[in-house]
Amino acid sequence: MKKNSWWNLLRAIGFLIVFVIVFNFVQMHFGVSDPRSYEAEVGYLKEKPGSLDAVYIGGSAVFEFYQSLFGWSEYGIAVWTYANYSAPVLAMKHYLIEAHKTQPNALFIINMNAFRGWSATTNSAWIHHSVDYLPASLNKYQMIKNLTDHMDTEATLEEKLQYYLPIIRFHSRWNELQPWVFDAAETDYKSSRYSDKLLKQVTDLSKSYIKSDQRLDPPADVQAAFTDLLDYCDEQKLNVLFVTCPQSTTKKAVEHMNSLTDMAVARGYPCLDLLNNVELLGLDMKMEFYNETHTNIHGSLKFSHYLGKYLIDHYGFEDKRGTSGWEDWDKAAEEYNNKIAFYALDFEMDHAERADLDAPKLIRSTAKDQTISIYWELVDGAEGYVIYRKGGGKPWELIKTVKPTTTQYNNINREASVKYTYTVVPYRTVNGEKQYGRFNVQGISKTAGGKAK
Amino acid sequence: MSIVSLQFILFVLAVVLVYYLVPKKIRWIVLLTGSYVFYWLNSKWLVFVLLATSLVTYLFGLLLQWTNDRNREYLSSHPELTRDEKKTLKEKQKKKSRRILSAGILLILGALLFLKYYNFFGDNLNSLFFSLGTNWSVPYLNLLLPLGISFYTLQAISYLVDIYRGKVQADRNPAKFLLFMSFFPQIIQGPIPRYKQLANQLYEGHSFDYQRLCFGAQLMLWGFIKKLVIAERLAIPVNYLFENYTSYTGPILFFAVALYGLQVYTDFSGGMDIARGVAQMLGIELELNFKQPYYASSIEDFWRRWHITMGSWMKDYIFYPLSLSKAFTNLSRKSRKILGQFVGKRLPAFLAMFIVYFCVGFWHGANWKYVAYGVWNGTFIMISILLEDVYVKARKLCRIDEKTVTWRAFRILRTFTIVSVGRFFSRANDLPTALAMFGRTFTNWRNISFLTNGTLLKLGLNDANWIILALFLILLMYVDSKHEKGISFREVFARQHLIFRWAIYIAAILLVLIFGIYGPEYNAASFIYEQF
Repeated sequence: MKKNSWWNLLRAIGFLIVFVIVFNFVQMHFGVSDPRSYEAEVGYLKEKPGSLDAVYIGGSAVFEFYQSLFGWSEYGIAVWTYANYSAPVLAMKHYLIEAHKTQPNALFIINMNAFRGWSATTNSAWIHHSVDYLPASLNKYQMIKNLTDHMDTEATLEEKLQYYLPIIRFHSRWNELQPWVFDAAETDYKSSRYSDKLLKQVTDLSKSYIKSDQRLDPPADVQAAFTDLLDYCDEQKLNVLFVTCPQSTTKKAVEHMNSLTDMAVARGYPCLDLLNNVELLGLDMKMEFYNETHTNIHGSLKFSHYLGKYLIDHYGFEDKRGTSGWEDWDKAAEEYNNKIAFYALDFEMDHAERADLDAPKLIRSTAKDQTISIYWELVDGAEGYVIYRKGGGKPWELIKTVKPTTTQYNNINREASVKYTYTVVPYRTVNGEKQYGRFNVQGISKTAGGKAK
Repeated sequence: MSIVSLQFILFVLAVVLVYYLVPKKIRWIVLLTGSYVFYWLNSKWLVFVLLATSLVTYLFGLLLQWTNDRNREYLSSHPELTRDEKKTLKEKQKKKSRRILSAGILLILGALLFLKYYNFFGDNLNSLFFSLGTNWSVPYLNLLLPLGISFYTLQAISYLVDIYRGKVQADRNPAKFLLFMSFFPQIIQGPIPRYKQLANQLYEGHSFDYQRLCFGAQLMLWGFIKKLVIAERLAIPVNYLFENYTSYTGPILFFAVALYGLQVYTDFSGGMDIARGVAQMLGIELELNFKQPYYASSIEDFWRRWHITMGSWMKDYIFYPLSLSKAFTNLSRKSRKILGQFVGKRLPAFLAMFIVYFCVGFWHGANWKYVAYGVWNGTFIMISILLEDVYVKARKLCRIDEKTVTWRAFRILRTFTIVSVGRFFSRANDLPTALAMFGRTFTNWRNISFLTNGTLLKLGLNDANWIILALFLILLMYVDSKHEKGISFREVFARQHLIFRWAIYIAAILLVLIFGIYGPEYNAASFIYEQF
């Protein structure tokens, strides 16, 4: 080859490399699939390799039951919820392979609820949820092949391409892009969630919740997928814990999961069956789920509390709070707690002495330009007040703690023409611990002045 | 396999790679194999129609060549023949050649006429039989149209006529000839090649040229932008307005047809850029089919810039043969006597032109609307020629300086308007619909507020998409204006710093990927001219 040809070849290869890098970045951000998968899978890669205590793998039940930052706040353990909304049966082994790559020494907690389905077949949306945000790797492409070969309706080669290059399907959403896709702010919560449903919704599961001690063979393809997963765990000598979560499902599904649990136990893996032992969690089945298969924030905090303690007791994970190298978890936990504080209050009140303080009467609210002022009446015995705000697309968040004599708060720089809601919670300190009093859940609302952007 | 699909890009890459890896002598075999694989993937068993047409053309080509050669040999081996004897012999041989040519054309054209126009003629005959009160009827046949048949039929005819005229020698190698007839980048929608221009390029093995490869890829990329970002985006409001035209009157319908004009341009010329780009990557130059048609200052000028290979085909194989035929020469003589010098001199040319535009219209499809489309264009050209003196006088009277930018802009706008309005015929579902839309366009012209009252946002594109469309149309106008001045962007880019060039190319690819209208969220994009 002439010198010139070599140079041209090098240039062409260089161009291809640069293009693939840029394309990968763009596809990651423009292939807007499901932000939850983005947080779990992209955020995971930002964790220092080999640093996490455990990785909790599965479907949506994982991140709706266990809040990693609550586990951190309480016990100082770093457990990442590596999950997405769909989690097809056939994807589970591939998740495990993916998670294992950067955290080889972690405990892998596998949520069995993903295996409750009637077959291993999958569909387009599930595949997108599962693969769109995974970094390019042989495992990813094997996963796509495995999933597309088992779709409920057979896909043509052209249709299959969208899973390898999700931009093919999602590029039309370029004008719906949200700013979060360009920064990692969302992943700062270490895969913990605070969705509206999680925070506010309630579904009564007291009648529909089913448990069973019977066994029933699951469908052959589900059984085969689970066996394949166990084989991989054996082969890699992984430290694995299988967990089931309580939910409202069919008796058959519970019995399938029981059989699968037996298979895991037979191979020598520990199983934490919380589906059939819901009483261990102390869940209020009437109030602490947001739908048939997921806990709301209250149930979630109880589950996180239980599982966190179980991990401390059985695996001896160290408390890393306040230690060097874990500042980002400390900071994220502080922010997350602030975000869910209003909702967590109930949880804290259930676990601690509740102060006998009346709810402050919210007198009025005013708006002058972009400053909103709220006024309340003093509560006897209060040693201070905590002010919460929601609005502008954000859930309740703690914005200020004020003195016991304060009866007015001015909230400046509000977004023009946006409605905000405030409430005030009184507290007092007993034996060095804050005890919160009653508060007005509806709060008081006002729309900020000025012209909308 | 659409030529705007990832599969096509991978297919092209594979062909290019294999092409340059095999020895030069057999590179044409790679092209032939690639072309037939491509045709098979797109049309399956209809490949045999292409094969049959190619073989018929090949055999008739040989026959014509053999007749020509035998005649020439006979004349050269018989120097004793007198001039008159030679002339008689030549005429006799020419008649024979013409009969062979006619038979060949009839067979090739017959396939096109049968497959594309059988049901059209059948429908019209049935209407006629019905109105005559007879019970006769032509049965309807469910015929499949082979991909690119309208294009390769013209290509085959030009090959035979060129042999007949002695312009080219018939191809002796059947396999090579199959390649000439099926070269994959141009088989679907042209450009319509001439044997003399294309065949040798296909047969000789080209050396690898990095710069040419890059230029080809860049041209493809520009084609992708035109097709996927502009044409497919334009198709959304155009389809909506043409499907719901009864809800609209006035300027919005003109707006629809003007957008359609831009859609056809970007769709067809985008496809051409892709075809030419692929060919360039293989070292082959296909003919230019578009030369900034919307910068044309008259309808005649427009047709010199629009679908150039079709225009030149019509000129060489219909217009001139007709104008120079004995019948037309006689007509000219007689019409001059009867109608006078001015009209009589022009009448045969007008008639030939009218036939050409009728054919152009009819070639587009088996529907009277296409005939009307051809006639509309032909009529304007004839009017402009007839009234040329009047125009000159009028311009003088109004003291119009023809060199001014405003006058040129006016002419461009005028041409654009006439061409656009003519497109009612080609785009509407049928001729009555086209006429109805035409009529509605010229009512309620005060209703110009559609541009500002939010109507635009109800045509399938939101504000962000309209902005993208407008920006890309401005880019297209800018690029075309530079091309008009003879500036090649590819050469300009080639002189820039590597980082700048890479940034431009990567940005262009990403623009197509993000702003292109393709994939499962949309219907698969097909080319407008593929159906003709």
